[in-house]
Amino acid sequence: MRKIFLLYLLIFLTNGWAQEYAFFHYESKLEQYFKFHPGASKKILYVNMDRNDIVFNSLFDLDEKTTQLIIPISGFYEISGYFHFDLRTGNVKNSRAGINFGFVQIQNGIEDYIAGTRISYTETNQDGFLDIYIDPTIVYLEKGVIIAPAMSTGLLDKPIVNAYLGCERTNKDCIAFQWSLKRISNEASSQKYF
Amino acid sequence: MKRLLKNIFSVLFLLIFCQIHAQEPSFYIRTLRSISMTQDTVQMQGIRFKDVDVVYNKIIDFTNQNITIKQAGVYEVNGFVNINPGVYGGVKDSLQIEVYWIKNSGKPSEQILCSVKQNYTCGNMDVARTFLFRPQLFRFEAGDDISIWAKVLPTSTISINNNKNYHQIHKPTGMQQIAGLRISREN
Repeated sequence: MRKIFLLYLLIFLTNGWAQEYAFFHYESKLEQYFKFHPGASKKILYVNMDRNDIVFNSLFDLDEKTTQLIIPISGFYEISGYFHFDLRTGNVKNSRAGINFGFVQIQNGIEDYIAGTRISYTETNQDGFLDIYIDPTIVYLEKGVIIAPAMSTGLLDKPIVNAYLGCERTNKDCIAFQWSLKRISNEASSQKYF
Repeated sequence: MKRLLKNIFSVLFLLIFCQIHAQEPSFYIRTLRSISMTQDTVQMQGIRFKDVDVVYNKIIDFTNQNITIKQAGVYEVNGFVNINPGVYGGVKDSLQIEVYWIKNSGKPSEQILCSVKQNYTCGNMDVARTFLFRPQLFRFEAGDDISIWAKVLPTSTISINNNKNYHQIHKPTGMQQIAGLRISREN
């Protein structure tokens, strides 16, 4: 009887442990400015993060000295995010204007978007804030890679653009930026991003 | 001793079983390979994935490039396609493309899950745009299939790049992602 109880307890504990996916969630009102240079489509600009804006973390090993988010265990992860973003540029009518938003992995110094979306700007959407979503994307990440929220010009015909991540003056309490990362499987695999 | 080994084996088996069980019931496929379209304002053109494009799959039957639901249930679906028409037009020209995510295409139970239209105008007809399918919940039956289609709309005043070697479904400049689809079963 005692053995059956112990076995049941073991099943319960291991099952419970296995069902809890390691998870990270970040939400910020932090306002940030970005300068985009035409012709520098490969230049990746990173979104600054504040450790006080981490809502939940059972995924990354963090302490007071942490400056980078490093994947602790190889596996499949689901990543998603949101940017509240104002391009703040001159008239982009009849020109190429787009920004790539997303998440970059840095491995051996090489930066690759692992999830992202491209927003094309025209005269109809260039003024004011846009809600930009990085919808759930499943990626395989290796232990030791750095993960960071980022954006890049894509292609921009106009002069330097002073863009803004933040909130409208009339809505200072909005969420300017948020993202989540969840480990969904520990199985071994690989994935190319380029 | 024999009994101890048996117990250790049982515990290991349980741990492995629970690890497998912990995998999220999802499917994600994406292509890093560009795809060519033709100038056709009547027929929709299929956007197909290959076996090598499967990133993660615990729920879908992906046979002969068909994405088929194995088990009835409620699923969350989202995806994206990047398309660059690859032409230059005048200030009066415009080009409209629509992308469709369809359940059971060509069957009596056909249903458009999502459609997204993009309007390319002068100055940006040679740049990729993202067609985004935001996450939505759907009830699927076993055997339902999901496919992605694109169509050049007849309202366009200019053709897409008609060179057969040109690939309109293409990565945006500065990013490698071309098209992706995620299906996740709700618990």
